[in-house]
Amino acid sequence: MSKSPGRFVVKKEIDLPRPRDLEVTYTPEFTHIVHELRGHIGAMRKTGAVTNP
Amino acid sequence: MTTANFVDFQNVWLAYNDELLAQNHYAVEDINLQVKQGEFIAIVGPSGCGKSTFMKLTTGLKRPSKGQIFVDGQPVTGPLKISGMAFQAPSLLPWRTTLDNVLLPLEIVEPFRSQFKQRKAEFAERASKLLRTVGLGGYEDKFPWQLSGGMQQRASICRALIHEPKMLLLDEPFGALDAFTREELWCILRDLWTEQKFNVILVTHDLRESWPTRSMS
Repeated sequence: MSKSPGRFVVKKEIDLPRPRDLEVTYTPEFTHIVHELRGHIGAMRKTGAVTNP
Repeated sequence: MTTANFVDFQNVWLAYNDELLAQNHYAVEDINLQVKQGEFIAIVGPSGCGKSTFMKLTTGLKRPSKGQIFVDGQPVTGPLKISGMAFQAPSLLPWRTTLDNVLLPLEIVEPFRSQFKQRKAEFAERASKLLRTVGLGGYEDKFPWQLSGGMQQRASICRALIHEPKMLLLDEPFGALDAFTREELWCILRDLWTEQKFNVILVTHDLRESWPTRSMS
């Protein structure tokens, strides 16, 4: 979500197989997803602009 | 799992009062969200982005200024009984034991409320079983101050689940805990969800925490 206005910016389906062991959070696949979502939030914090999904 | 949407937000906007509404100042704007039965979703965003507002809308604690919200096929017009909530602070009542804290929703929410006296033994067994699944077996008679922060948070998750809600709402539930305890509680939550398949809406600013899920930011 973005801040002021509070909007959904990105919706992302997480395709990692289940059940998800804690170890999953240390894999490159997982890190890649975190990094991508982090990028959206980082972009908003910098510009205050809403990026499109 | 059915294909019907369990949670359905249609163009939902919320301004907290008439003055803000007149100024077109909304806490959340144009929220569209469809969640299937049994899905686990996370909403991620910075502080002040309206995540908690979203939770209040979902549980019927706030009515939208514009748009419509449906949960389990019904329009949301007031506080929902089919949801359980847990927050960043465990908010256990200090004068109640762990068991009595977990039992609290059953003393408040119908149909359990009117059956509480007759079925107390059965309810207490249900609470004990839930406490055992989160590793708190044997702590029934302890008071909150006798538990660590992580244990209190586990108890508060049990309290949110005791009435077997169809929907569990978590507002930064593990934010105040150390990294190891947080990871442990992720696993406990994942196992409870895998077993019971209630809907989970998890609100967090921690991206790693959205690990079990489909996620939105």
